[in-house]
Amino acid sequence: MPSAASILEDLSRAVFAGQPEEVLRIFRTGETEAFEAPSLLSALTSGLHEARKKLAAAAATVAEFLLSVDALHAGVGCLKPRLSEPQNKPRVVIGVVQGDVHELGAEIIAGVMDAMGYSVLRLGTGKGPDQFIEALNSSRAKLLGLSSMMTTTLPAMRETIERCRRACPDVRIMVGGAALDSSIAQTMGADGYAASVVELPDELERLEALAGSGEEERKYTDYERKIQVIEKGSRHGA
Amino acid sequence: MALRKVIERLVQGQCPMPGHIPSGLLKSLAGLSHARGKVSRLSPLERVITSLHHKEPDQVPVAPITNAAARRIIGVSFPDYSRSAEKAADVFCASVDFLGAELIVLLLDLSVEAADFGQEMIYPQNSTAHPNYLNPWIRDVDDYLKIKPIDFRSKAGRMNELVKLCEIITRRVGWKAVVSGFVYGPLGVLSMMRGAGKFFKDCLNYPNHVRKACAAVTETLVEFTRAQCEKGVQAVTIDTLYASLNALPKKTWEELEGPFVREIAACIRESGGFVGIHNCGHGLYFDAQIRSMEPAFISFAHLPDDCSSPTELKEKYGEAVTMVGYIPTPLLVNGTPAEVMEACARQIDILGRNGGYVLAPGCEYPPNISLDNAFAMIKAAEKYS
Repeated sequence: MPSAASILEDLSRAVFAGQPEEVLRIFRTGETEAFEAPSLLSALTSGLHEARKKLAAAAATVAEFLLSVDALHAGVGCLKPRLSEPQNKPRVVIGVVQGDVHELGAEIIAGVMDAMGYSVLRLGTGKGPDQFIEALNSSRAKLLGLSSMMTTTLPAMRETIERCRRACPDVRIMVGGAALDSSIAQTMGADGYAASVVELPDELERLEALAGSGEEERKYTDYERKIQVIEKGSRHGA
Repeated sequence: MALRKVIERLVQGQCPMPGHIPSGLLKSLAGLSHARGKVSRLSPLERVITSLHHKEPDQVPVAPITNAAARRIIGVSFPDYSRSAEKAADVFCASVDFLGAELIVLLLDLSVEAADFGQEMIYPQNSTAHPNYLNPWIRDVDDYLKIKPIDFRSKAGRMNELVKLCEIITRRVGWKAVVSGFVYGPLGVLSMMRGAGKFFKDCLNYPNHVRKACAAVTETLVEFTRAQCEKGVQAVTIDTLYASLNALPKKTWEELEGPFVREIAACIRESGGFVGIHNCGHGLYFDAQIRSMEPAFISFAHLPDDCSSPTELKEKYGEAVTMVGYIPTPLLVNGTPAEVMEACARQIDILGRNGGYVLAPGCEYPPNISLDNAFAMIKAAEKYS
């Protein structure tokens, strides 16, 4: 009979190693029944965080990390009936803007946010502003994640940010993707930017601190200033 | 035989294939250009050849890779650019004549080959052509085993259009620039037929399925590559995106794609062309790719996995390969021309020393932005070399 600690370690290790089948096998043994759901979830997520650290250290590739995300999902799937809706993290809507078909980046980010305890609504690729607004309203999400991998879809990203900002002024908007950097993100009026999953937790922490600091007024003023920069840029044919 | 081919092309007013010129003679010509470049201006062709032989030309050559972006110089739509060799040729010629590109890479989009293998395509009005990922050709892993080489002459519509583009461009550009064809490596082609997320995992979970599909695809890719070379392009660039930390572990890449891109590279060399690589992934594997393909140049957007600075990159690989890059895409989108010139100056200073460098964006110049920053790159090469 494996010890309690070793079952949790095995789960964590299976996620780290990207072995969804191994995660499912451990759950099928029934030995996980002795644990509270939060302990099991914590073991699964710690495996993913270790995998993320390995990715950050350039000691793993995206393909290997994706297998870890799959392993985490396998475990969360087994736990789902025992898990209540996360209370302490905001709901999140994540999607890829209109015209862009690259789902991978958004999918990785969504996987990690799952692991961090966020309740994530995935919209998929090629979504227009109206679809994002509808999802934000129906889910009452407080955070919006937008991805764009192509420079040709940056105007769509900009329009989505503007429209969502007007329709849902309390929502924090975070962006990412190969076509962007922090400077472009700021110019477009986003609140946050993560170059990859490596920077994600720190950036989310910063956004949450911002949300709790009562800086709503200043945020809107900043936004207006950013819009002015964009309009000035577009007059120059940018 | 090779000499006859050189003479034939010279008579036609076209640049000979570099591989058909005896290597000693080519090296001497590069040496002469290097010396002449100290006192007079070289032609774009001389600049590129000198640089590829790791000697400093009069100024660093520029490959602005303004492929689809140059549509706007002459008002060609995205779908026309993607589907018509004549229209695309007008666009590439505009990048040479209007902008002053000295090395051009005939990349239209990354789905040329996948489309001919049956992948449904979308040709947007204002963006790059791409597969319809809602309808991938490869729906489950067993579909890899159904992929067969295609009849290149009759079934490869998009690839043959690109071959036609090679023919028109080499004729029209002549001595004004070095022209490189383009082929997406077999893993890239398969990912376009499957979707990147699932494909990454298949490479790790079902390597034998993927390897068999690679073999089938490569048979056609070799034919495609040879056809481009026969039309007179002086180089062919192989895109090996999956050889990077953005995608597969090095060992997996070497086992899965290495042998197949080696075959494509051998075909380019046999046909007399320079082998080029394009890889815009983070932490790309310079070492593994050099082992597999022995390229003349590598076009890249980020530092390789085993280098922490451009100085280290130059020290480590500067003698083995000519570097083409690596002005960041976000800087081109958001930076001022002055900022772009500053970045170019830094890269010329480090990577341009002793030749072996072509100034270029890390990836294709963003198609829908102003061309100001492409001009800034050209200007920077003049000013800071």
